[in-house]
Amino acid sequence: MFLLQGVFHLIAFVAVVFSMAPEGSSTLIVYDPKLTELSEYSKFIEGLTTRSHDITYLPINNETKNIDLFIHDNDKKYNHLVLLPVKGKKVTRMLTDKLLLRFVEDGGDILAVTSPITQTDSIRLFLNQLGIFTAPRGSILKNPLQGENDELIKVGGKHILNKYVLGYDFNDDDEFIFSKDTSACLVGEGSQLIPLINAPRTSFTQVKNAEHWTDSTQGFLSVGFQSLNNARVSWIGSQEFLSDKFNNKNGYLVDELTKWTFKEKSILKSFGAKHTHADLTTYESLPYKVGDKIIYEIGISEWNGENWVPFKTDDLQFELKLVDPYYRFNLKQKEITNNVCVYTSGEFKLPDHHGVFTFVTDYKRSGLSFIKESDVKAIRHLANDEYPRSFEISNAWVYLSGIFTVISSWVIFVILFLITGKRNVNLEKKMN
Amino acid sequence: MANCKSIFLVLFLTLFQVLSTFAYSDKQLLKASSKTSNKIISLQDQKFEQILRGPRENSYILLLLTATSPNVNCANCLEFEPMFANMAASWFQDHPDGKTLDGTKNLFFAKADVKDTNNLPPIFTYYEITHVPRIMLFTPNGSTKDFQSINFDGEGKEHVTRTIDAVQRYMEINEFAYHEPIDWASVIITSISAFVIIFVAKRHGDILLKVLKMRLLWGIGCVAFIILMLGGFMFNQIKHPQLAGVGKDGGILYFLERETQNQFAIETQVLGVIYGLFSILVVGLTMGVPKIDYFYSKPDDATKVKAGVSIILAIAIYMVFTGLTNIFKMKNVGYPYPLRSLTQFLFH
Amino acid sequence: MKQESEIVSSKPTTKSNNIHWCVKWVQSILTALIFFTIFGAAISSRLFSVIRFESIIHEFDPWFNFRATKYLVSHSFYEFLNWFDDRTWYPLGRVTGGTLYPGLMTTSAAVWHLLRKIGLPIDIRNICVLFAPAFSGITAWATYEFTKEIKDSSAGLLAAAFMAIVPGYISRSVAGSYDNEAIAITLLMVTFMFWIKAQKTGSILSATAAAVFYFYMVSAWGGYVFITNLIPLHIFILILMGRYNNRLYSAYTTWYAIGTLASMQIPFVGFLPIRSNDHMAALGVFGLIQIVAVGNFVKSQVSGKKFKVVMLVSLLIIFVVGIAGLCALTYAGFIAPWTGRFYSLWDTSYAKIHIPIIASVSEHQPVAWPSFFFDTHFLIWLFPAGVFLLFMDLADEHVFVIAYSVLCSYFAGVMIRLMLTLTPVICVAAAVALSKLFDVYLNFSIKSNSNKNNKISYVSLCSKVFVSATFLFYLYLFVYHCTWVTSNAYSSPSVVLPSQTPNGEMALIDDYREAYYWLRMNTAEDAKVAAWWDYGYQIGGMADRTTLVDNNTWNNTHIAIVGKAMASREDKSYEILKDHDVDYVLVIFGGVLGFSGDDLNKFLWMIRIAEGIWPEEVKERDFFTPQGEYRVDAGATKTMRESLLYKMSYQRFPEIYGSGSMMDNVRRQTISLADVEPLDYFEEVFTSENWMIRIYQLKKEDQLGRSHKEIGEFERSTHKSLVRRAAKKPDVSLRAL
Repeated sequence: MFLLQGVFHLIAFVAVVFSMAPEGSSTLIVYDPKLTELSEYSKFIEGLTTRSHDITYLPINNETKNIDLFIHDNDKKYNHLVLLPVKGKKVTRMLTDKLLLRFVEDGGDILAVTSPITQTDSIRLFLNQLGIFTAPRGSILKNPLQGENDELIKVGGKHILNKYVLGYDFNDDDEFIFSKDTSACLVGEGSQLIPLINAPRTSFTQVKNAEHWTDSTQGFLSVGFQSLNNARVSWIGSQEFLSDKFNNKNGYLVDELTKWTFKEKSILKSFGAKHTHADLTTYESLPYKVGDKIIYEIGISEWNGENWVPFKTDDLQFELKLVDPYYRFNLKQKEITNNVCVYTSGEFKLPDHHGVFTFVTDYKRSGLSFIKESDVKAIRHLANDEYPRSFEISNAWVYLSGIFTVISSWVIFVILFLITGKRNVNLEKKMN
Repeated sequence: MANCKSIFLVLFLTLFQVLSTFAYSDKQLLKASSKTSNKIISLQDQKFEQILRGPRENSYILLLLTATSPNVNCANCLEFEPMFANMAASWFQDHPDGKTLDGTKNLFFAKADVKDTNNLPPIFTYYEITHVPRIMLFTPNGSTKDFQSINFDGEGKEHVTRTIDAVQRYMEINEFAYHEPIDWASVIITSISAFVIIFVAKRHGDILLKVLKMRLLWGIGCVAFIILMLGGFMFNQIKHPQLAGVGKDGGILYFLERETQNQFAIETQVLGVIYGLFSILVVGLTMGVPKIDYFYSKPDDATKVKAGVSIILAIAIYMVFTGLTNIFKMKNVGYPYPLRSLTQFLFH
Repeated sequence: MKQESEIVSSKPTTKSNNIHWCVKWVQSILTALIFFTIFGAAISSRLFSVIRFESIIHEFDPWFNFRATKYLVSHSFYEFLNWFDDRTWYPLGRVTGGTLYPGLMTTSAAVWHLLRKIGLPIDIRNICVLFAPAFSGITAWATYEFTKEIKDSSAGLLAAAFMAIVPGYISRSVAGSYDNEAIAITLLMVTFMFWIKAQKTGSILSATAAAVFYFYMVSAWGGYVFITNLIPLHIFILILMGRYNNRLYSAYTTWYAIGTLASMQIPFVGFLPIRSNDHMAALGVFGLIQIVAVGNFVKSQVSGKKFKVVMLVSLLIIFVVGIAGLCALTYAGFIAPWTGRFYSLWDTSYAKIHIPIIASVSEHQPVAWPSFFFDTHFLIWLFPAGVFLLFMDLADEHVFVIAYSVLCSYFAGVMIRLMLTLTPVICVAAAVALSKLFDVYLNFSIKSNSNKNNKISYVSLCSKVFVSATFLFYLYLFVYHCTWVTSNAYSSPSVVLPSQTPNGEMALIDDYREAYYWLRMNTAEDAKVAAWWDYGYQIGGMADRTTLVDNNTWNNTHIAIVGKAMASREDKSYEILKDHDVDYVLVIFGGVLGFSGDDLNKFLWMIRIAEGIWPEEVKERDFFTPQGEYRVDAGATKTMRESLLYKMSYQRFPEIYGSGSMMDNVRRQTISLADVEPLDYFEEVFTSENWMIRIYQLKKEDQLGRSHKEIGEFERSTHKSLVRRAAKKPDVSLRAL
């Protein structure tokens, strides 16, 4: 009963906190007027504005002096950044790779669009650091077997790789269109990289005077990346993928991709992990000791774009660690409300080993934001009076009875000795 | 003609060079090592290059670079010197030709020693040696620069065991045994004393019991033991310091100066004598002097003798104490309270 | 002697009775006065460090004792007893309450409470600092009582005076040296004093008092094992000498039964008294004395020659069976074999081979003879003479002193820290010798029969005055020696180092406290600091931060982890340290100052200890050049230069004066800029004024999942080279579907 009440309190609290949207949406779009006619991307921009993005446009031309991503070098000025292809070395100087890295490390999201014709060095280096290796300038993805005279790159539904980012249920009949100037990339093995759209099986990227950059499904047309602080970066190898021209085919994907990148979906949030004694006494009032019964609980919500909804899964794991994990088990769903799904470990017994343990839930799934809740708590040994008394242990009765036998027989011996001794003295006296 | 001569000369020289640069064979090595009494090849002169240079068939050479010159004052060298000789002796005792038991490998010993600091053997300059002692193991088919250095660490006998371990590891053999030189004197003494003890115990058990019960004997024994301990005997047992030092002029140093945490082994003996003297003098003062009464019938004589003896003993104690404090000042230079010797008193 | 003779001579008349009373009164006044001065001398000579520096806890171990005392003062005794300390030995924690000797802390806490009760609230720090000097006075008194039992009160007074100022004892009991030994020596002497009284009189009361103080001693210091073995040895020797009597029986059985049961109440000791070989001698003698008592009883009933044979044979059989049983039980694992430290006393090379952690401690080194003289001055040569003089009397209690002297002089020779237990017996034996000497030469009473010849007695007087004068001169010199030793050698807190400026003025090197204070003020309260174990207690005590290992070296593996981290390559160390949630790494570096006790000089021990656990990963050989030298300059091995400790010690060091190379003042080798590779995984956050302490922070895990090495390379490369590299296919493992 108490348990339930406690949880309800928590949920009420969570409801208040979670009723607001995850983050403000000031977005900067960097583009090159020579390469990009914004009007051709009206639908893409419209999608952003309807989702209440506050968009700032930054055309790069001769007058552009600098690009301010940060206010006074401190806080970031924008939450999101859209990098459309830009020409010229100037950008490399103004928008350095280190600046972009810092932006991401500060929690900013970036949607980077590459066109094979113009590759900005700094953006390329930035992507390299994440483990996304875009093909060099001028190397275009080709798919000669797709059909004659059709230079557009088309991919089917099965090439869409991550359900959390781009959504579910694609058929093979679905077709998504990349322009003829499409760049593909290679992707490193880092666990934070999220391959999104695979290149067609028969495609390759030719590089001048060198081996192919990508071959077949080794290449990717779009890749996502999530940093440990849940900042998101996504990359698309074609600018026209976003354009109005292909919007009827690509529109859904573009929307999902921008939603994911700008943290409008697949956001998880825990309302804090909590562990108590099995009878709900907290650690603070009664520190844990070896062998105590403990309950661990964590509540997780997901942002679906409009609301916080309960996040349901069956692979949420809890670990009790002292350098190495002592316990690791799946948490069970216990309580589902409008906002949150509460997971519980059920009652479990702490190990018979004292030490400073870490209670961790580390949930990292490709495409979802990462959750890590960890709490360090000491588990003490048994105090001197917490062991069972000797008479409570049936094995000890043998020894106990031995002790008392010895004591009583000694007392009897002394008494007998004293009595008989006296007699002797008397006898001797009499004899004398 | 002159030309011809010079060509001839050049030819001769090159021939000589070729001959002299030709590496030693196993047999030659064995010969060289048999030449010396301790079977250690001496590399004091230029010949070292020729001996150490490979390729040999299968001979390893264990080289010791050391400095026994008193000017160098290398305690480790002096300590290791007899051990190295004994290592060589042990090897040749088991392997008369220097060959391993399966006959595939040879091991020879070589040594170069700085006997005079003004006249360094060329090998030291060749290898740019700055630290001694150095132990190197030359492999059969290498050049003069092809060797394994063997760490010289540990203390006392560990040098030997570690060196042998390393040699065995590199040579991949397991037959290098170190034979401690047999100390015949101690063997004889032990056996004779054991015999005497058993004999006495058998024949005169009651006398032995009486001796065992002798208080004086026990007293002297205990005090001797204590004095030994106070003299740093256990330090010698554990740290194996060298017996004594060598002074700049080649004389023996009895005390390791300016070192309060360290000592020569001989210092224990010196201190033993000093503490023993002290004990005798103090006991003499407290117990011996009052007993003089028994030897004189006239109390006056006794009193005079007692007074004289006690004053002499007191002066003797003072003198021994002067010695002790001054030895201590040698070890601890800043010590402010050394006693003045009697002569100083007399002349000031 | 002198007093006794007077007492005897003044028996007959009432008039002399009055004089007798008067003399006695003067004597007690004098004794009180002497004690007062002895107390004064004992305490004041231990205050050098407070006057010269400040009221501060010294060294390493005392910092833990101090921290534990503070815990005891602020918590209940129950909490203290069951204290689980989660701020040391992270993440294992330490069952501190069960693994410490609580005697010291409880005593000072009791003093603190008492003083508060009587309206004198004194800071617990000051009580701890002044604890040892205060107890040294009590030690002097106990020594007096002890020696009084051995000889008489004049010898007692001498012994007390010696004990008060002898440097061998001062070395562990100056103000601020708040260590277990500070109280243990006092308890040792009190226990012995009661024991001597008990075995002399057979008094159960004295034996119980001895047992109670033995219990106190057990609660205060691990060295109690010395008493546990010495008293049975005393009894054993007496039995061998055929001096068994009922007084010995009642004294020993009382002491053993009560003392053992009481000592088992200390959690840290627990069942050791019946399970460890260190304690088996006491148990064996306990059994033996029962047999001897029964034998004696039977003998008194049935006399006969044959009995003697039967007795002897049965004793022998019991002895053999007992030893065999002991061996069997030890072999089967029921009885713990000797503890490492104890074992290393007998087999002197044992520790060096098997337990590097014991061998690495400088206190466990053997003693060269100058230390003996340094610590005891002229007592050292009175000591053997005193032992010999005791042999001449050889009462039962003298056997005790002799056994103590012989045993302890051996122990002190093997291990320098046991010099401390030898010192009291040196004082006692020397006092006995000196007082015997004075009995002869300070006795100016003129015998009645020599009245005729004044001339002779004048000669005798002269010689007596001369002999006494020389010894009084030695006593005088002894005081100077002690003062000099104390003020020069034993009064540095080692937390603050004295030094001299070029002008010759005294300056203090206060880097330790500077660094610990920095930690305290600038790091998170639950930050974990990794440092070599020597500094664990200080970090816990002064900086109040969680440590991985400390001076309570209970877990060799954990210490080896830190050693391995220090000896490994940066990336590997980072992994190890990150696994243990470490936030900061602290290293001691003496290269600037010429402080030779720094971590690089202790490095070999770290490597050895780590090698003991991971022989495949850490190899001592890799840290030596092929020539077998320990080098840190350009000639250092690759492993050496890549090791974390090397990098941390020499980071930025060559550029101190901008010249790009710098002489290390400890190892006398020149370090140049090219030798020191950059640190990628750690960030320097603090370096103390004289560079003695350097603190590094572990960099946070990269948000983008790169390794810090990659980041470091990225930051160091030029833009151009990066662009050039990006033009080629990446040289990393790629994902493919």
